[in-house]
Amino acid sequence: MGSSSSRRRSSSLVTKVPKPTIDDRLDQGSATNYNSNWVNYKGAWVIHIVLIAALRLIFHAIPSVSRELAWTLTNLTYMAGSFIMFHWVTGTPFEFNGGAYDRLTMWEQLDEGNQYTPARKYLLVLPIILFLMSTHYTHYNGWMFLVNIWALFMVLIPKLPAVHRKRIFGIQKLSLRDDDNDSIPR
Amino acid sequence: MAQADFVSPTSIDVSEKKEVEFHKKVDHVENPPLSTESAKLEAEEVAAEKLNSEHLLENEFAPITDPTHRRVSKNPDGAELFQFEDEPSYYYVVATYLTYLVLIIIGHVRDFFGKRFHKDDYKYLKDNDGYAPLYNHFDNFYVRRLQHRINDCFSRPTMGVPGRVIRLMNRYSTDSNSTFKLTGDTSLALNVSSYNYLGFAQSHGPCATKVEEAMQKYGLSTCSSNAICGTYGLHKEVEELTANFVGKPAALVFSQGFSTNATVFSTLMCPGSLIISDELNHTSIRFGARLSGANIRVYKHNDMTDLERVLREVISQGQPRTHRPYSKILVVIEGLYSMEGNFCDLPKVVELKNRYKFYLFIDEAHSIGAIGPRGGGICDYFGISTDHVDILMGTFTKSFGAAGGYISATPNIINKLRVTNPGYVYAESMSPAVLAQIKSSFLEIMDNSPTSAGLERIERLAFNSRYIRLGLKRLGFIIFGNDDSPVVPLLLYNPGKINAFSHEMLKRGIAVVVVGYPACPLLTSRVRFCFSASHNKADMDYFLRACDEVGEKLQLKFSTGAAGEDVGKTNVEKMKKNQGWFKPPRWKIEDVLKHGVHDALTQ
Repeated sequence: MGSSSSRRRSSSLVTKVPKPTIDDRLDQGSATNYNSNWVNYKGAWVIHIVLIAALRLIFHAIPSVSRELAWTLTNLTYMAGSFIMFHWVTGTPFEFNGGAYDRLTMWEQLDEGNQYTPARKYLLVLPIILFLMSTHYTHYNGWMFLVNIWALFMVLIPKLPAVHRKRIFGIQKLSLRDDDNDSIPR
Repeated sequence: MAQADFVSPTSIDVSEKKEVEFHKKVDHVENPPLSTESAKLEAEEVAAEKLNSEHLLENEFAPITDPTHRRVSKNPDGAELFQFEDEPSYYYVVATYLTYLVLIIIGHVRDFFGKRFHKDDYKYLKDNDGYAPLYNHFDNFYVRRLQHRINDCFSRPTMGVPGRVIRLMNRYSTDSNSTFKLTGDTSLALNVSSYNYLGFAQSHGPCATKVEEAMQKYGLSTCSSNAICGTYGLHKEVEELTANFVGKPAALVFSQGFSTNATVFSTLMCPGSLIISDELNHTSIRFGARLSGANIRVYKHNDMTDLERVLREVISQGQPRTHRPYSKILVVIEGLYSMEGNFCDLPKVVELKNRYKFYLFIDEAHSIGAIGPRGGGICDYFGISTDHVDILMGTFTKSFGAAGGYISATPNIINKLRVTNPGYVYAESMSPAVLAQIKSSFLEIMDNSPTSAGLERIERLAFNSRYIRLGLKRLGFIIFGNDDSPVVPLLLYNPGKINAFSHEMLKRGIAVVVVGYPACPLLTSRVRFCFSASHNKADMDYFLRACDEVGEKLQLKFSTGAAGEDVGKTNVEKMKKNQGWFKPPRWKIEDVLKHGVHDALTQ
């Protein structure tokens, strides 16, 4: 009976993940989040260094890939991987918390959402250092610099505390149907 | 037809085989003097029945080979709890992370192509013909892509009583563990997988006899709930026995263990109250806490500093948003953690309780019967009065060979639960047969005479636990938990070794339970052994030889020596003496077996 053509207009460039309901908070508090708590285990910081070194060696071993291109590809691959892992995939790969984390990226699940924890600081600083190393070893080539800094911003901006539980430019934007359902008062 | 007896596999050398005899040879039954044909047939039947019966008895509970193989399960007076978790070197840790990364990438790649070229296989993950998906595709990712690979290690069908040995039905899969086919034959394996702490999983003996009598007298079921006409005199007897055994004034018996925890919190707690739960508490506790509607806070596993921090925060800050005080605070801990093998630090918890005045709930599902000089659980082990604990919960499924659970507390708490707890008012009451099993095992355990069979079980379990833990530590494995704990987690780390270990041990005739992420943290995949009073030294020596062999083959000896190669207090002294440097223990199996008994009894 209602007009099917009506549609909510996108209100802003930035959309917010709704605040957790009391039920979500209880579900999140009643069980440990095994999807994200591994970042505080032994070796969770070292593995990043190992991966970057492995990527560097792999790209350097490919024929006709210059040293500068190898560093750029290392940077891009690591940035893409960490973006997908921490900022694109939402939810958990198992049903332990009653769906309480379905809207949250792994970065937002980290340390129960607390900011400025050691793991968050490390994961924020590491891409910056990798970017600086890539820039240095590409001898400050202008075009590679632009590509590298674009990749850095793609993974750095979602990590900022100011952007917690926010989606910029529709990246990992919630579906319209979910938004409509949430606007109904409970 | 006599049942086949457990025989050690031929992979053991012949010279070592005579140490591994799991049963005594049955004496030849002499024929009666009158040698008529009918008398001879009758004698043969009697002999066959006797042989079968004795084999069954030994398969379920091995006789003790040396009366000195017993020790008292007790925390040394004034000694601080020593539970150290060793870690392997970074090589193994990084290899584990890389393995998971590769598995996850492969899983996503297969999903990507599978959804496009094998759409039928993914129907249950998409909207299909008007039906909603059964699973969100990412929620199901772990089960679909990682657990599926090792499904043949889980849910193996078994037959008979899982006592000292367990009979497995053999099966195979032709479609990568999607379905299994039974071959029709069975394997007999040494059972280190069941929580049969005191060895009451027996189909013969005084307990089984009492169960048969109870079935004759009361029937199989009460066919009613406790609140209507399902409460017999036998229920009252078992409740009194439970309260006496635990050391509380009153007790309540539930027909199922999980539902004991799942329903009790909704009666005790309410919105506006708080439950502080250990990080590694059982799912039933989390489920019950969630149902109660109370606020939930979690503290790090067995970390008393973190518990105190949480307590100070919640007391000072109050409820979320309004900051009003909580109406009550309940701290929930477990006596013995079933996947870690360690004890709660009860002396420190009681100290905090005296300071911060919270209510204390202890889940003794595993610790009741398994630790303590008389099997009384964690309070018995530490010599702490049960008056310091407000509610003691436990199950009858582990040490008593039965089913169900109990709550013991003061009479006013019990009486409230009796009329308001949905797990009691609405649930079917416990079957008389199960009650008879509980009652007879209780009476056997509570027998305080020097020749008590119950005391023998308790002390045999304490010796077996100490012996196995000491042996595995000296061989070089990383073992978690307290040195007196009957739950023995051996760390595997790399997920590829989970099913490899299970298969290798099954080849050697030993049934084990392997545990992987997310049932335990990402790094610490493990195999969880559980020894019982039904094993004797020959069983344990055979087991240690098999572990030594498989540990070498799979490279599982990660121990850095930080957890030591001796029992608790000796470890601490050695650590101080060595100024923090540890020599990794890598004993030979012969040396382990030679020194095992003496050190297990004296340290």
